Amino acid sequence: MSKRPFTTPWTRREVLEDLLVPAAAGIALAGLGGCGGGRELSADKRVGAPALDLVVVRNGEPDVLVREALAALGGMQRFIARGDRVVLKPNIGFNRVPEQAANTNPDVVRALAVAILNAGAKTVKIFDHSLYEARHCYARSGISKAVQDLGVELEFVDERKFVEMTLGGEWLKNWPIYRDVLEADKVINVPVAKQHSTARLSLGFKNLMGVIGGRREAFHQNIHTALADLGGFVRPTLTILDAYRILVRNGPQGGSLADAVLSRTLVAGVDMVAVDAFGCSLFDIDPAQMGFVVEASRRGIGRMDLAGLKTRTVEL
Amino acid sequence: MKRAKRLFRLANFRRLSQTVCFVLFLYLFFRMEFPPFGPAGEMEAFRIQTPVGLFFYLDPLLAVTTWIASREFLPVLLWSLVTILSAILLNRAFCGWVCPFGTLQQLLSAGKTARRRAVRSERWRWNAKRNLKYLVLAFFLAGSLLGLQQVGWLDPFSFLTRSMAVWVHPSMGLGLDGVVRLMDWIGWTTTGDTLIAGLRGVVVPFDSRFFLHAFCIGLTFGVVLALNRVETRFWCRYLCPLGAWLGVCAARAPLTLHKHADRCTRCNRCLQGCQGGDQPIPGEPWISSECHLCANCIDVCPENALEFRFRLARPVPAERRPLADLSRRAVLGAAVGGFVLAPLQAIGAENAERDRKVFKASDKLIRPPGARAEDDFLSRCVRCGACMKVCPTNALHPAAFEGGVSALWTPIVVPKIGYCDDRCTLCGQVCPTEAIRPTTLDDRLGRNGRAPIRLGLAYVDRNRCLPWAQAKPCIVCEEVCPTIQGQKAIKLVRDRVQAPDGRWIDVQKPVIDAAFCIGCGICENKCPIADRAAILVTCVGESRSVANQISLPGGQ
Repeated sequence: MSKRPFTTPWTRREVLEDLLVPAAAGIALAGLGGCGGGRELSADKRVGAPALDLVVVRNGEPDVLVREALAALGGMQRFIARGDRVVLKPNIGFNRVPEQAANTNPDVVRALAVAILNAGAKTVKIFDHSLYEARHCYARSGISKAVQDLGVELEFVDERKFVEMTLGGEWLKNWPIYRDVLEADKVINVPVAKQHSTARLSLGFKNLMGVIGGRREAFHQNIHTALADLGGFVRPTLTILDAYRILVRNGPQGGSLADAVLSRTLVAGVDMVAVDAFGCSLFDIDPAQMGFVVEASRRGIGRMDLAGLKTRTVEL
Repeated sequence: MKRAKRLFRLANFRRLSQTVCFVLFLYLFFRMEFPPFGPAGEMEAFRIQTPVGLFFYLDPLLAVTTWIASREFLPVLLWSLVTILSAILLNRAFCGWVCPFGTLQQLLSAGKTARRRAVRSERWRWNAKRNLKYLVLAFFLAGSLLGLQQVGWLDPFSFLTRSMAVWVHPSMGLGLDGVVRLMDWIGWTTTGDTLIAGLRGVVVPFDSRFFLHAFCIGLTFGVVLALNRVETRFWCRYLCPLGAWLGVCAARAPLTLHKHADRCTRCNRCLQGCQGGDQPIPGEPWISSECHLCANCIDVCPENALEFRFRLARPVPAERRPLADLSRRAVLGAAVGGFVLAPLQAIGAENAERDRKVFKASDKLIRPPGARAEDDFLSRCVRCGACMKVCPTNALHPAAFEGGVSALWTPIVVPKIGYCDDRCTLCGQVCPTEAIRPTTLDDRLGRNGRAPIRLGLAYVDRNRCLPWAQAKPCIVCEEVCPTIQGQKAIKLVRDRVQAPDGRWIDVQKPVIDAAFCIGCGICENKCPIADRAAILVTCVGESRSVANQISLPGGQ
């Protein structure tokens, strides 16, 4: 660097050489440091299995259902450690009100967020990669209003935050996964139970389609394999199936109040396959006929033999 | 004391007013957006509470041409009387003190070097070419008599809002995206996250968006802005029909520039800062209809040779020449031009609808929900692009020639880029002239005994659709199809088909139940066939048209 007093005017060349080149070099170094310092990203958020495989709570209001289900599983602090960064993943995919049962019930989401915070979590992030226009979905689902005073982060999906990951599935080899899911300590999956035309039902596995980017619409050409591939990679800490209202026709977004049935049920467990298998029974479907449940069970992602699971049913 | 007087001078008040109005314009522009607060009741549409159309309501040019062309009195445009009144009393003060487009021109005119000013010294002098704006005005007014609203081409608020919506605003989004990705690369990822989360949907688009023909609109905007380097406020002096309209109103304004010729030393400083080019220097006739009341001339005059005075007495002082050199022949010529060109444009229209018959309908002229029948629509639409700005799904785009020359840059739905959300009414809320009518959710969804608003109709291209053409499962269109009056328009029929390799496969094939299709286009938008979707929406069956239908009314 040339030695010269600052009082004399600098030429363009001097500015370039003395200021911009070192600055650019610094930025480049910082960039290299940033690239090299990345830690191992994983989507496996499981903790040890509780005493019960499955908890089913019936005949309650949303917040009571959540409270009872968590109590039966041993409390939220069993899954959440103090200081955890937690992702809570409801379905906020559609521009529909809670009564239409297209999105997760806002009171269920709120009760869960409160429980996670009470368990000592540092941050709770809530988001969904909505299928309809996101701001409409977040507002009309009632979820943004339900959680606004809790101090949680309700985030709209930022397209640049999808990280290409190696899924190593049978069909999906690589797929972009949302960074917050990869960086979180725990992921709580809160689907709503709905009818769907290829998957037959949209439950816990289908809800994971909200943490991924890419051309999701191509999944439907081989939906069961795709869902099993995805569910084999993204392993939530806990799956809580909201069946307070279930959408029995015109899913997955509905739009008609006549298609939503009040079921007042909540299913919870750490095994997403078991939760989804039980979810089938709410629609009078044999889980053995659900392609993705069978496929996931075959791969050992979870268990679908409802009779063999330690289940507690709480009737309120 | 002297310093205080210097601070509270007229030109500074003008600068303050310009700043406030410009910031207000930007604020209102950015509030043409999905509102951050929820609706009162959840079954209601989301409403923009801010009066985002304020500048349009203040625009007397828009008011008069809309009233004449549509043959209907839209009361909200009465606000423009305020502007008319300001011109009658204070000349074109609106141009100098309020108009945000004028402020932008002024900003871009500033900073010409003294040498440049000297070279172009004759620019201060009135020249008859500046009468062009009066001819533009006559042209538009005459055209509106025949029911065609063309003023949007050059109306300043339409021009500015359109250019901002279609070109500037998306570019800002791309710019921020570039910056944030650079920050990601450096390693400042969380800063980038915060920037995106804080700015998207506020000053940059919520999602990255693109507009058809943005380049043409951006280029037009760029040329108009660049002309300021040729001559100060080129747009305002030569082109602006609103300026012309106010100039006509200001022709007998009582406010005059009083010149003390005895004090003038011909230093020419008054000419250098003059915005309107109205010849403020003593010894030359002052042209009242060109004066923006910017007060720069008074401000810089070292001899205090100039001052504004109210003079109610007639006749007009000898040195002012309102509407200088404007010949009756030229005005008549322009008016005849507007009169003749209006039907000529309409003949080129591809969606002309006369006597309940459609002539050569363009299937892609899909209008936004609540849009009026085509003729009525074109008598109101000022091509301001507010609907395109507010549309949360990027569904609305400026038309090319889908609707003929007369519909250039009016809004159309392009489902391949964005679908029309079945529970959104934002475009009708921001349309300043109600070319897109304000609608309710009951209107849109056909509740409470109403028929739903249909934009068109979807049809399946069976040669491209996966279950139909390739024996592959896919139901995405059915999945996303909104439920209208209890049913989806896309239904699945089961079939056993033979795949190209000979195997027999069970598939579900999508078919259209036209009674429940509102033409929202989400099926076309989400269809996995990326280039040309296997399900397409065309405008047949649109609610706004009597003739563009498949069946007779009541028939199915």
